[in-house]
Amino acid sequence: MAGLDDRQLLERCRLRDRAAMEEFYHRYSDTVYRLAWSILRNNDDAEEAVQDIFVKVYNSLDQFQSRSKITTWLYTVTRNQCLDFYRSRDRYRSHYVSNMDPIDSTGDRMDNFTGAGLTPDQEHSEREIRLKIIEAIKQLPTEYREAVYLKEIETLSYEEIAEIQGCRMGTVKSRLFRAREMLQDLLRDFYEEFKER
Amino acid sequence: MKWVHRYWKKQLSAYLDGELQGKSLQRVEFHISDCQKCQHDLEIWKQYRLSVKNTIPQGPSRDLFAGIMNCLDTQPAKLSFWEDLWMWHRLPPVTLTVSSALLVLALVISLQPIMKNIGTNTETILGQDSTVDYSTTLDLSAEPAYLLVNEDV
Repeated sequence: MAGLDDRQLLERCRLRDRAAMEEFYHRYSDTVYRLAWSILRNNDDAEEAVQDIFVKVYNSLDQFQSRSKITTWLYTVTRNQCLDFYRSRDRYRSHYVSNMDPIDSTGDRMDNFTGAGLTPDQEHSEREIRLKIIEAIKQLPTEYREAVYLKEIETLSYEEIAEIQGCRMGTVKSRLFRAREMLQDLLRDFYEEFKER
Repeated sequence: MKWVHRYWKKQLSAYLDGELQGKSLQRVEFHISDCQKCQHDLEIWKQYRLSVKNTIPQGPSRDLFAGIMNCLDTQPAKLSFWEDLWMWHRLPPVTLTVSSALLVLALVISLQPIMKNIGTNTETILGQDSTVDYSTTLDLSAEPAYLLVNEDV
């Protein structure tokens, strides 16, 4: 199954071939999960969203137009599903107001951080940096966070991000610029303090 | 001068993303070589890029696929459009109201000729000619028949 291209894989998924569906899941679950996480800022919610998204995707493969890229379609489905998820739980506003404890929301991922080859002190510092960055990212508005994720992690172009976010390229450019400025402001003190050590 | 630096900073962001080409790319590269503040910002942003890459979790838990398949297996079979339409409870209230109103209207229109026929038939049974206007032929000023009989007596 790994040798099949996306189009062949989708054809088999349409026929409910379990092996193909599993391969499709392994190919795209990380991407979908990371985008969901960047919007929802919570592992449990992101996993729940990923489950809903894949069920939805498998049920609506007939609607996929082969003209566009499968990833673009998946990003769009993920984005819509996550925003619905947000609204349905009425969390949108409370997330903006409250600063969630990053250990609560990403604790399991942080526990996976082994810090191989680092001394305990370095490992502690590295962990501290990560938590601080997660906290800073979480404070960005949803659209900014999403744009940062699509650019930095998925390395998409402005044009592709604009298509997914349903806005103009100029807006994407501004969002990324403002997100970087905000991150710089949020992390300035922390980095200066860290360098002094 | 703050807004000038802000302009360059915005260009710097696009430069970092590899979105500049041609003259704008050359201009920014030239500016960076000359501006220490921009060099500093660029370095910081590069650090953030690396940090963000290391921070975002890699993927969902391994047993999630089994959960997805379980969801798909327990889902009811997908219905066709007509089957779906037949399931009245799936229709939203507005659709139901509109379709009910249309149905009643269609019923009234289709029943109108039948009702008309029923009216005509009733008149025929009672021995009345529907073409005659009884209200105008009836002479209300004339004496009632039973009074005439009494006078004769």
